[in-house]
Amino acid sequence: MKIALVFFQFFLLFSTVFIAIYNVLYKKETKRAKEELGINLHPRVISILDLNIGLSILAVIALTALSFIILTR
Amino acid sequence: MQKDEKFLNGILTLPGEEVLVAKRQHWLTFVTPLFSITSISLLFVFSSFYLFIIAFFSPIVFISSITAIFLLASSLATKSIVDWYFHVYVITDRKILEASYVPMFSHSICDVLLDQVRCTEIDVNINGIFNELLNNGDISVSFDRPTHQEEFIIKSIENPKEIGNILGHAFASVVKENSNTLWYRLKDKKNFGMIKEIFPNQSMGVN
Repeated sequence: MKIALVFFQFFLLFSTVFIAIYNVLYKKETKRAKEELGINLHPRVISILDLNIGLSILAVIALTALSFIILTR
Repeated sequence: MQKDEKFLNGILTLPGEEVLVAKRQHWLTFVTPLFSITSISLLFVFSSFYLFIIAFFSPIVFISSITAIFLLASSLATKSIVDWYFHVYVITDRKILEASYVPMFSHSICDVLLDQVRCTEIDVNINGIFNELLNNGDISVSFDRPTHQEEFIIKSIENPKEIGNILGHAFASVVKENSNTLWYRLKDKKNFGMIKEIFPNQSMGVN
C-alpha cells in the first residue's frame, strides 16, 4: 500500500510541476495579446497571473518537500 | 459611446475609424465556470479526505492532493477570467468585429464590413429572470448577403437594447452614405451609369 501512496505522491508532484510550467507559458502567451489584438492588459489581470505563478512555485516546493519526507520515512 | 473602449490600443481599428461600442461579454459569463470549478474542486477535496484520511491514513498525501487540487482550480479559474477578458466585441462606424483570444489554445477575429453587407434584422433577446434582472442578452444581426455565417451574434452582452440601437444607427448611416451610388446598365447594354447623375437627391428601383 505504501508503494501505491508513494507513486501517487510523485504523480501529484509531476502534475504540479506541469501546471507550474503551463502557468508560466500562459502568462508569456497572454502578453502576446497586446501585440496581436491591441488589447491592453489590465493590472488586475497581470496580478492574477503573477499570483498564479507564485502559487505554482510554492506548490512545487511544498510537494517536493513532502515527497522527500514520504521517501525517507 | 461606451466606456469600455479604453482597453483597445488601436490595432483592431483603422485610422480615422470611430469606435461606437467596445464591450466584453457580461461578467456572468466567467462567474458560471468559476462556480463549476469551485464545486468540482470541493468534491475532489472531500474524496481525497475520505481516501487519504479515513481509508488509508496518510496526511502527507492528503496535504499534497489538496495542494494539487487547489493549484489546478486556481489555474482553471485564471484561464476562464483571461478568456473572458480577451473576448471583445467592437462596433465602429465601418465594421462590427468580434475578437477572441484564448492564450495557448485559439485565436479568432471575425470582421463584418458594414458597407459590404445589408442588414435585414437586428434582434435583441433577453431570456430568463436572471438575465432580465442583470440586463444581459444576445443581439443577432442578419444579413441579406452571404457572409461566412450569414448572422452575426453578439452573445451575453450587458445592456443589449442600447447596443442594438447603436448598431441600427450605424447600419442606417452606412445605407445613407451608399444610397446615392446605385449603378444601372445603360440601354446600349455595354456601359453602366450611376443613378445619381440622372436623378440627383432621389433614389429609385431598377428592373
